Amino acid sequence: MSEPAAPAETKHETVAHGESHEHHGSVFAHARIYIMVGVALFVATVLTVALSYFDFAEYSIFRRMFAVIGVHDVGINILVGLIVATCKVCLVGWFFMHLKQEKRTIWRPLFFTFFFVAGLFLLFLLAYSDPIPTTSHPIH
Amino acid sequence: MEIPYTVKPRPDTGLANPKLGIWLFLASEVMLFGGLFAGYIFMRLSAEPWMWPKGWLNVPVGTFNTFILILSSVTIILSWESLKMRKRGAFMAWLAVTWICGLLFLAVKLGIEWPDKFGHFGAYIKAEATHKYESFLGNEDPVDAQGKPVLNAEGKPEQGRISRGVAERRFISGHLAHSSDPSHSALALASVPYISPEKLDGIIGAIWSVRSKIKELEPKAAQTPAAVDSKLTGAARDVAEHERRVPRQQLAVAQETEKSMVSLLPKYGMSPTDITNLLDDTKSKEEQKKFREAFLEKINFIHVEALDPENANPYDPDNDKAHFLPRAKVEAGTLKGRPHIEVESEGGKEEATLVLNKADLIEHHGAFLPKLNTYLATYFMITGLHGLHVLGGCIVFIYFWLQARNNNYKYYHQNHAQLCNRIEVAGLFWHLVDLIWIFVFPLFYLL
Repeated sequence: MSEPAAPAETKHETVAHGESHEHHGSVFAHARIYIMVGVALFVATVLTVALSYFDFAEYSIFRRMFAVIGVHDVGINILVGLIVATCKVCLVGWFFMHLKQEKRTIWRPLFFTFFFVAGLFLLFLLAYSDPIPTTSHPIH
Repeated sequence: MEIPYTVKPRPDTGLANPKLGIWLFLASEVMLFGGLFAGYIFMRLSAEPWMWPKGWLNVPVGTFNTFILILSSVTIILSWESLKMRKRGAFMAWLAVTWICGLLFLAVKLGIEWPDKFGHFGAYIKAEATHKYESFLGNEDPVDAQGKPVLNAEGKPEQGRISRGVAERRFISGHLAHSSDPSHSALALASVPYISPEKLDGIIGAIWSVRSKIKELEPKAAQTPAAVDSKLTGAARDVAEHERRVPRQQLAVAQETEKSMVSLLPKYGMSPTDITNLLDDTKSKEEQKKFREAFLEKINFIHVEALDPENANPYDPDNDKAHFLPRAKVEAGTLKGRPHIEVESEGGKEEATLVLNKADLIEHHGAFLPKLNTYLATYFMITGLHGLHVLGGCIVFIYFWLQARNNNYKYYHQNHAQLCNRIEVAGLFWHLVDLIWIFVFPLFYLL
């Protein structure tokens, strides 16, 4: 149980008795954090939309930068979009889902999930990488 | 039966069961959607450049829905916190805002976004036929009748997509013109595969030949067969007995064949009147030809009205990108005089339709439904699956809300800690629904 109002040492007790400790000042501080995170998510959404109208592949600096990790063309915009989305996801997970104060028992399976999903997302890089150089095709 | 550790932590895990349970469930959900998204990105990157749509989805509507979901994520956590502080009014209000946001999200999805797709029509042009529809695809640099480059408003030659370095376009989309045939909708007619004149002749000829066979057999089958010669014995008698029955058996088979052939005709887009007219062999040759031509005209040509701006004005580089603000509707005047365009005036208003020949289209054409292409198939599958999650969350929240409203004592005082846990666990699920949308939105709407 994540108890935003209770200090760390009283947390266990709170869970055990199912009672809330009413530290109103602290709770209001939490409410303010939640609202601020919400605003940050709104801003990040606007940023996502704005970035999608910006074609990274048009600029040679971005083309060269992303070519290092094997991402080209529309892949650059997709990768940038995914990075912004991942930041938003981290905000929601960390603050709204209380991962910042969650127990290890929760974190442990989440690590496995994280590696599994990260692996899946990295797989799409393979679509553009060519392990055998002699067969590489010109990029369209 | 009392379920243990719904409030108290289990000694071995240090957590109450619902908390651990929901996190394990969320982990499996993350892997499910992670797999779907990774699959989508694979398809997106390896699709032919002309095949993948950009800008089909309504970005303002999608952004609005994103805001709604983020808002509901904030309100559910404020609701949980109010509950913790035993502020019943605030708890109920925030919870209500959450499920109202959820329902609003679904209303936008099912009321605006999806129906908009069902009403749209799109078709891919075969590679060898793209030159016919060049003025709607805009791949080559345009030239006028004298072979000189067409100039744009700034006096510079217009550039086609190939010169601009943009992926080739082979897709034409808009809305279907209304069907003139009351027995088939425009979409049903458009969905019927192309029928060549030879194929139609083949179909009609086959039915006529079966019908003439029936005519031939009918009098024979109607006759009472002569009795078998009583002197015949053994195999000779068997043959004679069999021959008595042959005309009737042959007639039955022919009738059955004719029936099943005719029953297939509606699949070719033939209405009952079409069937009667096309199969009427008493009419003169000219009349028969007229019927066939009229039928092929109806079945093989698709009239697309309200062309999308990227087809109506394909040389404008502005139309290559997804648009945040809806683009202006195409005026009939801008299409006049182009090949395959028919302009009809109705009540003082002109309506231009583009006439597509089905022979020029690749197999899949139709409304923006999952079967049209991979993009729409994954769009409907993933937004549908996400929508079901939103619906599930709304049902749970409404249930808790009603329970807290009607059963004030039990859940507010006696089982307060349990209610807190329930709201928290449902809230965790709701945040995940929000997280999934955070990925769906850029992947499908923007990139």
